[in-house]
Parts: sequence; structure tokens; C-alpha cells
Amino acid sequence: MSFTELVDTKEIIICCGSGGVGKTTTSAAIAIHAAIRGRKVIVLTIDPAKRLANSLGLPELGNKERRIAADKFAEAGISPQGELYAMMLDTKRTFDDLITKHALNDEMRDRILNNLLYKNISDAFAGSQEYMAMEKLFEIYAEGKYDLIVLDTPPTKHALDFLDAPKRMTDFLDGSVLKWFLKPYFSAGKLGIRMFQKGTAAILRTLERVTGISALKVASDFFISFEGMYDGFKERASAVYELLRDNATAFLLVTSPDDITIEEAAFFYDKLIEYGMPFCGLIVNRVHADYGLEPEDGRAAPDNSSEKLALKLGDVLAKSAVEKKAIQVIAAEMARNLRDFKCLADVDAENIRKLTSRLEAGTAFKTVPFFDTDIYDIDGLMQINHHLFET
Amino acid sequence: MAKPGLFEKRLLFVSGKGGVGKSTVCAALGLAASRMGKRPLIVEMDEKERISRLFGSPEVGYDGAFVYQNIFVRNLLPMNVMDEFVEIQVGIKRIARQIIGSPIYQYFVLAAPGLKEFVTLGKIMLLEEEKERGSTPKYDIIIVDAPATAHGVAFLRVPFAAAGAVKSGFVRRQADRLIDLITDPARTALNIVTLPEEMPVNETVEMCRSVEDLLGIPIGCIIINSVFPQVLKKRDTAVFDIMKQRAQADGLQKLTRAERKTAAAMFECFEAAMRRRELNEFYISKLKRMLDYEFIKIPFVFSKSFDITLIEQVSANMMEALGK
Repeated sequence: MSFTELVDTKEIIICCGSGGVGKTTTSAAIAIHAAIRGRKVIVLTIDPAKRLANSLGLPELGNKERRIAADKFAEAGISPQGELYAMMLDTKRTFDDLITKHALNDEMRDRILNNLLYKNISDAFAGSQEYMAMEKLFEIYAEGKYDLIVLDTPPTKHALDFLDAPKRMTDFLDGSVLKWFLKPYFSAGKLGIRMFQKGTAAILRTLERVTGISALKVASDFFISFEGMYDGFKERASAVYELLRDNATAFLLVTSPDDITIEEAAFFYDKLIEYGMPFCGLIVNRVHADYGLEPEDGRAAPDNSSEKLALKLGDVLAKSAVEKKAIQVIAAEMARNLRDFKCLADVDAENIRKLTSRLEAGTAFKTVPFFDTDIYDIDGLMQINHHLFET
Repeated sequence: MAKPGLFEKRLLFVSGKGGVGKSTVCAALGLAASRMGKRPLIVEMDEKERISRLFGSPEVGYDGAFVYQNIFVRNLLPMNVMDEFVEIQVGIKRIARQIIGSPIYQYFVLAAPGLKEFVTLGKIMLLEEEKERGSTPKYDIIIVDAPATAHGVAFLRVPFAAAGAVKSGFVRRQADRLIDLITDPARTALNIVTLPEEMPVNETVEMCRSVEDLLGIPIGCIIINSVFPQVLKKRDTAVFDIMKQRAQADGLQKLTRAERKTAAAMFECFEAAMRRRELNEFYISKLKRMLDYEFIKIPFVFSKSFDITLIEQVSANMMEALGK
């Protein structure tokens, strides 16, 4: 399926990949295209560059749906058939909302929201940002207000975090083992250690020595507070997981052509396949142009050809001997610069080949050039679309 | 008294937004230290080792190995540090293994906020104190490839949080010693790597602010990686403009078709390079306007081969920038 077909038919598009590869701009660009194609679309983003957020009129505060005003499009000379909305995700607030929704009563809610460990994990627990992105996605999908949701995922260093987030979070919260050992331990007080077998007692003593009792107490309170909520959380997480695997969902892998990010992208691709996620396309951003210098017969041009050309430029462009010398100096610099760029283009092409060789035939795939100016408004995003959606 | 130079410190943390070249900079710092006759240790904390690979060495793992000349590298995965810590504390291998293998332990380490980080920082402090033949320190300088910006702040904040939460005992003593070490400008510096681009620059400024406001860890250098070269000197602008004008008129008529194509590419990518340089300069001046630290600019490397030649080059650039 081409990217346009994906945008026309899918209900959820998830852009994933390493940090710094342009996921946010890509997501915004895709959402704009969907709006132009007549869909009612929302782009859910994590941490857009300030200028992009400003130019789209996104508020600083998170978790608010905001329609991109028609005049923003008019400035770029387009009038979309559909509607474009955007929302900046606030991890902490999403987590708080989730607790509020699942808590059995107000007292339980407050106890959790004020727990030290909760304050820590809701903000910084590895995977909580990922999990909350999924959670918000599910919530918006369930509301059914939009034809298409485009999700810009948090920049995870390890691709795994993202897909494992729902499972990890439930494992963590479920923590039946932890519940089992913390509860009697604390309800019985410190002497409770004796209730355990030798091995467990040793573990507890060691952990106590490392952390001091207070950490254990906080953890215990936390898990005890959560009692009764586990089932709701678990159900929710498996529903999120099913939604991700649904046919109406499309995962797009976004990467740059650098060695490291390509490697991470390949790893992520394997994971998507392994988890049975609907991988639908690859977008490589920041690709250096080869300026169409690939010789048609496949043979590389001789290395010194551009140096010779630099001298020749002096001949044809100069009107005096002095001028000629000055021009040749600059032309030589231009020749060197072209060679440098060619080198970048070659490395990029080679890295991209490594990745695309693994893709199934027919997978949507586009490259977007390295822009030497910042993309921060609809005009700029349309430049990206030009590369993603033109046939 | 002059500020102590970067390489006179004992402990260099290196952080920055993901993808800006932190590992490359750490490797280059290590190589530079080695060239200055020091014995460096580079510490990374990554599921996937990078530093060893940059030096063309096999993976070094937790116990570490020399990767190049006298450069020692260790991969201190926090979970492994935690395991080692338990082993030492328990003293009996069999029991330690039982603990480490137990799900209770796994859950606990996962659930206790900052525990892994705390123990990892403790390990780094131990390495800093490690002596050889009685009195000489085993390593002259320790370079830590720290977690990326937001996580980096969380990582470095752990001892402060511990000191705030625990009033006495082992944890408190450990936290106080850690704070002494990481806030001591004579021994420690936090260095931040960035690219001269919008998002990395914003994150760098944010990180500096939170480190200044919350932690008081001395910031060493802001290392601006991959700065595009200035391809056209200012005094040559006029000549280039003439060249462009004439080329756009009929100046290239005498060239063959293939030559015209190459010449067009030469003009196009020369201007692309100038625009990139201009954008880089914009963000560099933004950094300098907002932050008052020492800056090291590392030029863009075109070869892009991620190996020792790259490290050599970056290291040489860094030494030059520091005036060594």
C-alpha cells in the first residue's frame, strides 16, 4: 500500500523510531496530508519543537485537543477538505487520569496520587511515557471522534520499551510476588521477617541494608493502595495491545540514514514483525541528495574529474587572468565540497540499502532529503509531503 | 587561580540529547586523555555496547578490558552493578545467587525508584577511589557516557534525593560521599554534547538550567558536535556571486553536457553547505547567548566511518579546540 492509501484507509498510524530522526515533523506532515484528503484527523505528539508547536497554534499545556485553524492552512495556500487536530501528550496527567478512572473511591485515588513511589514512576518509570502514549491513543480511539489518529511515539533508546510498555506496566502493577511479600511483611512489622523462609529473609535483610526501611515502606503502601485496581489495568493493557495489532492500525518506521539509527531501525523492524504488529512502511529522513551524479552506465566518474572541471570553470567564467585564478580557487573548494557531499550520499545510500533489503516487496518506502533549513510551519511540512506522497 | 582544565579532573560525565554523538565524544575524550599520558577509564551503561565497537574492539562487558592502547572500558549495566553489590554485601556466593535469581529481588530493584542508579554511581565512586600499588590511583580520569538529557538529570539527582529521604545509616553516608564527589569542581565536571540544531540546543539549555538549579554539579564544557565547515570565506563572496551570475547566464555553454551537470551540482551543494553552516551558526550563537560555559566545537566529519579513524579525528579536533 502506498502512503496515500494508508492515510486514506487506516484508522491509526503510529510513527516509531529512534530519537532525533524527525518523527514529530513526519507525523505532523502525514496528518496534514490526511486532512487534505478529507479525513478528520488528530496528531498526538509528545515533545514537538517549540516553533512547530507555536506555528500550529498548539498550547503549551498538554492533553488538550486543539483544531489547527483554517487560516494556518490558508497561509500555506491550501484549504483542506477534512479537519486537523493536534494534542500534546502529558504523561503525568494521563497517568493521573487513569488512576482517577480506575480508583474504587476518592480515598484510594488520593492515597495513590500522593504516594512517593507513584510520583516517581508516573513521571520517570522506564516505559511509563510509552505506556501513557498507548493509553491516550486507546482513549481517543474509543471516543470515536476521529477518522484517523496519527501517533508520534516517545523517543525510546531501546526499541523494545515501546512495544513492551503495556505488558511491562501490567507486570509491574500486578506484581503478585511483590504484593505477596510486602503485605505480610509490613502488616506484621519488622518482626515479620521471621515469618519467611531463610532465603527470603536474607533477601529482605539485604534490601533493607541497601535502601533503608523507608523505601520498602513506600513500595508496600503503593502496592497495597493499588489492590483492587489491578484487574482494570490489566484488561485495559490487553485491549491496548489488541488495538495495536489490529488491521486498522499501521506502524510506520521512521529513521535517519546514520549507521546507528539504521541499526536501531532494523532492530525495531524485527521486533514489530516478532510481535505481529502491522508494519506498513518505512520513511528515511535526512537523506543527503546524490545530485543525480550516479553515472548512467554504472561506472564511477574518475576521481579527479571535478578538479579538472574546477580548472575549466576558471577558463569559462573568468574575464581576466586575475579573475581566473580567484575563480579556480573557489571552484576547487566547490569540487571538494561536492566530493564530501557525494561521500555522505554514498554512505546514506548504502545504509538505506541494508535496511530496505529486509523489507517485503510492496512495503511503502520513501526517503525525505536533508533540509538545510528548519521545518516549522505548514509550508515546510508540505515540503515533506511532496516527498512522501508524490507518486 | 585559573580554572582546572577539563583533563585535570578525575570524573567527566558526558550527557546530551540522544543521537548527538555522546559515545563518540566519550571515546574521543578517552583517546585525548591517553595521548596526554593519562590512564583513562571509559564507563558506559548500555544494553548495546558502543564504545568498544568504536575502538574496533570486541565487547568488553561488565568487567571491562583494554580496547586501545591504555584505554580501559567497562559497561556498567545498572542491573549488573546491583547484582555485584548484593554479592559483596551477602558475602556467600551461593546465597547471593539465590537472591539475585529470585523474582522478589527483580521486582524490588525495578520498583525501588533510583536504587539501580544509586548503586551505579556508588560503583563509579569506588572506581574513582581505586588504587594501585598502595597509593597511585588506578585511573587518572574516568569518563562516563551518562544517560541522555532528561534521564541524565534524573540519574545525577539520585544521591540528592537519597540524602533528602534518609537521615542516617549506610545509604545516607554513601549519598553524602557521592554528593561531595559530584559537586566538587576540582574533581568532577558534567559535559553536555549537542548538535548545532534546534531540538538538541533547546534540550542542552534545559539541562544546564536544571543542573544549575537543582543539583549544583559543576558544568564543564558544552561540546558542539558536527559543526558544518565554512566553505566560502567572507572575502570570496563577491567572486562566488560573479561566478554564479555568469554560470546562470551563458557562462557554461562551452562545457559538455556531463560537465554542465556536474558544475550545476557543484553550485547547488556549495550553497546547501553555506545554508547549513548559516543555520549551525544561528544555533551556536543561541547557545552562547543563553549559556556561559566553555564551548568546544567539533567539525562535521564527512567520512562517517564509525571506527578508530573517526575517533582519532574527533579527538584531534577536540585537543585543538582546547588549545592542547
